[in-house]
Amino acid sequence: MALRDLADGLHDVASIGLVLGKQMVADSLADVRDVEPGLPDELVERLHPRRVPGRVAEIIEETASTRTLRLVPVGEPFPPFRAGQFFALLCEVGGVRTSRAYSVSSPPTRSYLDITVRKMPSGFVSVYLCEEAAVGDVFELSGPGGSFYHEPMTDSRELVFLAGGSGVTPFMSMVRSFADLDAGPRVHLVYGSRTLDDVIFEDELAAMARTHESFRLDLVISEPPDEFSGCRGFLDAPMLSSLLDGAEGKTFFICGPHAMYGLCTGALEGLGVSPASVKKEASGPPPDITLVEGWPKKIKPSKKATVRIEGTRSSFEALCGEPLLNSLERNGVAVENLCRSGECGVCRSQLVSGEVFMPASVVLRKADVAFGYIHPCMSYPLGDITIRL
Amino acid sequence: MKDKRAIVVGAGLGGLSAAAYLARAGLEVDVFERNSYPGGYACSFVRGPYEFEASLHELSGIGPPGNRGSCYRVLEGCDVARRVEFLPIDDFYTSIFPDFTVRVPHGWEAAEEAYCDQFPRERKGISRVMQAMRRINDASAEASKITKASDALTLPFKAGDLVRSMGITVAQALDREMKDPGLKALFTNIWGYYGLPPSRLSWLLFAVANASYIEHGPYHVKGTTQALSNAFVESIEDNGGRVHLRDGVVSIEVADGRATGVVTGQGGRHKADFVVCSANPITTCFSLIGPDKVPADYLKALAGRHIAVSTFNVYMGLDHPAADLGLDGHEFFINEGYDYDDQYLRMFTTDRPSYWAVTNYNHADPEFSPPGTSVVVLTALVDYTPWAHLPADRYRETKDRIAREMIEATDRRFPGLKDHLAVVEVSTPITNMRYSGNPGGSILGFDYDLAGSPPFRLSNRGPLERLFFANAWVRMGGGMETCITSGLFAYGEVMKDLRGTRGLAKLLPATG
Repeated sequence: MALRDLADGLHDVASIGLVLGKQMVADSLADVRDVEPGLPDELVERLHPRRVPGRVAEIIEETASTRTLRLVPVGEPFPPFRAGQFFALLCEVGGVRTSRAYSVSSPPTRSYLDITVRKMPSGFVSVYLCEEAAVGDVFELSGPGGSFYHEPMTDSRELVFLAGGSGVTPFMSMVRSFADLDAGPRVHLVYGSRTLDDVIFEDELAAMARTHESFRLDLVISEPPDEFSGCRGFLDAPMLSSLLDGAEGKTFFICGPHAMYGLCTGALEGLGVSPASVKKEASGPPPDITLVEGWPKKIKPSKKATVRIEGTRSSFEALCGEPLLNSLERNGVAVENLCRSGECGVCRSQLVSGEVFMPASVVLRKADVAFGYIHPCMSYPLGDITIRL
Repeated sequence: MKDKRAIVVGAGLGGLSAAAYLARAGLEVDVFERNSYPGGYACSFVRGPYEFEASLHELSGIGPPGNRGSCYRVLEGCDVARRVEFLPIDDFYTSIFPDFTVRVPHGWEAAEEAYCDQFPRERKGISRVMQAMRRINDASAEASKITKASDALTLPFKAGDLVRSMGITVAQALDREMKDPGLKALFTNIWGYYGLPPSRLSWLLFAVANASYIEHGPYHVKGTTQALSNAFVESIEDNGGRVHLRDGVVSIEVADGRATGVVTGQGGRHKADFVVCSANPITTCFSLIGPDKVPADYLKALAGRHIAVSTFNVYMGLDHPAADLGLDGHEFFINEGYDYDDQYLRMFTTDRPSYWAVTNYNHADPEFSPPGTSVVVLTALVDYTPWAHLPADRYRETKDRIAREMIEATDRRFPGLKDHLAVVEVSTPITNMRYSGNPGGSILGFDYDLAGSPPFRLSNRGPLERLFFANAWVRMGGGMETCITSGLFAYGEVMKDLRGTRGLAKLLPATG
C-alpha cells in the first residue's frame, strides 16, 4: 500500500509538471486566439439582424388592388431567408407605430426583397402601402421569420400549394427559386381568386407552367366571366379531388384568407391526407374574430374594456374585437413583435388578471399556458384586464 | 432590506436563481432580459404540433423524495421546487459503440455492475475508480461547508483524493486503473456534457458531476425547462421582484470602481446597490462596462481562459412513437470509435460529428408530444470557429448537410427514424450565440480543463465592487444544476457585502 501511495505521489508530481507545461502552451495559444468581444454580435447580426433598412427601388403594379414594393438594401445586404419566409415591415401610419409581416415573393437568390401587398378594403397598413408608399421610401424590416417553407428532410418530392388571393406570395418565392435551381420538387399550384383580374403573377406563372415540366398550375375562379373555360368555384372538396391526381405521399401547403383554411383542411381530411403532411401559413388576425370557433357569442366586438399595464400608470380603453397588440400600439405602447399571428411568441406577455380570447391557432408553450402567458398579437380582451409586459 | 435594490442583468438560470434568493431576502429586485422569454438556454420552442426542449438532456442533483440532491435543495431555498414537477429518468445513459452497446443505470452498485458485465476482467480497476469518485464527491461536499481557515488547512490530510483530483485529468485518473480503451470510452462517454475529452477534462469536475447523476439519478422537467424558468419568475414576482422582458441591459454604470446601476435597451436608467450579471463576463466587461473601466488584471484573466465548445442540435418531431424504433431509453450516445481525442478534433470542422447524443423525450414523459408521435433530438458538440468563417450564404446548406448526415447515421442504428420525420429544426453555434449572447455560443462558459475546474474558476465576485456573476462562466460552472447553484453563490456574496462580513472570501486568493 505504502509503495503504491508513493508511486501515486510521484505520479502526481509528474502530473503537476505536465499540467503546468500544458497550461503554458494553452496560455500562449490564448494570447493568439484573442477574445473577440464583438464577434458574436457580428456573426448573429448578418444572419438575424434585429432591424435592417430597405429602400423602395421600384413599385410594380400587379393588379388593380395589388402592388409589389421592391426593396433594396441600404447598407449591408439583406440576411438570407428561405423561400416562403416573411419579414416584418415597420411603419408609422396615422401617427401609430406598427408593423406587418409579409411573405417575400421574390426568390432568396436575388439581392432585393419583393413585398407584394393587396389593399384590403378595411385595411390599415395595406392601404398605406398601396396608396402612400413611394419609390425612395426607406422602411425598417425585421426577420426573416416563419417555418412555412419546403423542407426536403421532411417533405415529399411532390408538393401541392393551395393559394388564395394574395396568399400566393410565399408560393411565388418558392416556385421562382425552384425554377432558378431547375432541380426542385414537383409542384402543383392550385390558386383561387375571386375574379380573373385579381390573379397576381398570372403571366409569369403561366409561362413557368409552359416551360417547366415539373410545375403545374390550376387557376380556380369563383366569379369568372361567362367565357372562362377554366375551373369555377372554390378550393373545396369536390374541386380538390377533381384537380389532384391522388393525394397520397404528397406534402400540402396552404396560404390564403382565413375562410380558406377550414375549407381546404376539411377537403384534405376527406382525401385521407394526414394533418402531419399539411403546412399552414399563419396569416394575421381574422377579419371578424366573432366568427372564430370559441368566441363567446355574448361579447360584442364593439364592447370596450379597460387595459391596465402593471408597473406603470398606463391604462386605456380597448375594443374587445381588436387584437390587444393593435390596441397597445394605438395607445403609444410599443411591444416588440414579429409574426402578428400568434405564432412566434416575440410579443409574449403575462396576463395578471381578467380574461382574453385566443383562437386555437395561437401557438403557446405548455409552460406559458400553465403560468398564464398570452400572445397579445392574437389576444382579445373579453373584459377589463391587467397585463405585465 | 426593502431599501436595497439589486438589478440582475439577464434572465438566464443563474440570474433567475440569484434574483429569486435576493427577492426572498427582501431586496427590491429587477431582472432585465432582452429576449421575450426567461431562462437563457433553459427554454422551449414550438414548431407545428411539437414543442421542443431547447437544451436539457438530464438534470442532476434532483433525486427522489427522501433522497433529494443538492440542486433540489437550492430550488427549495428560493421557493421554486414546489412549482415544478420533476420526472425521473430510469437510466443514466446508453453507450453505443461499433462493437458493443451498454446501458448504464444510475445507483453506485448498478452502474458498477453494468461496466463490469461488459469488462469482467477489469472489475478491480472499475471498483477502485468508482470508490475514488465517491470519496471525491463526499469530500467535496465536506469542503463546501468549510468556513474556518483551520478546516481548509487540514483538508488535504482528510481528503487526499479530492486534492489529487484537482491536478489531474480524467484520462490520468483512469489510466492507473483501466486498460481496455473500450472501457475507458464507455466509462467516460458522458464527457460531452462537460465539453472536453477525458484527456483534457478535470477529474474533479467529472467525478463530482457524475456522482450527482449516479447518486440521485437524472431527471427531466415536466413541460420542459421553460416550466422551470417560468417558475423562477413566479417566485421572484411573488416576492415583490420584477422580470422585465424584451428590455436587455445595454450598459452598466460605474462610479469610483463600483457598479451603480444600468441602462436598458428601452432607455430606462436604473440605480442599484448591487448588480448581478447572468450575462457572460466577456460581454459584461467589454460591452456593458467598457474595458477601460475594468481592472487590467481581470481582462487578462478572461483572455487566459478557454471558451468551451458549443452545440449542433437536430430537433426532430416524429409521426411515430420513438420506442417502436428501438429508442427504449432517454439518453443514447452514438460513437464511431473509442478515440475521444479524434471525436473532439472533429468538432473544430464542419464534417459530420463522430460522437453525438440521441435524446428521446417521450421516454420520461409519455405526454411530451401528441399521442402516437415523439420528439427526438440529436446533439453534437461543435466549436464555433468554422461557423464564424462561413459566408452567410453558405450557412444554411452547411447546417442542412450536417443535419442530414447525422440523421442518416442515426437511422443506421435506429432504422426507420428518417421515414418518420414530420418536423426538423436545426441549431448551430450561431443559434446559441443569438439566444444566449455567449461568445462562441458556449454551453458551459469557460472550459473545464484543469485551470477551469470548479476551485479555479472565476469567482462570483466581478471585477468591480458591487458587481457579481451568476452564470456558467464562474463558480460552479456550466450545466443547469451548476448555473442554478451559481445564483445561490452570487446571492451569498451580496449578503456578505450587506452584512459587512466578507470573512473567508477575503482570505482566499481571488482566483482569476
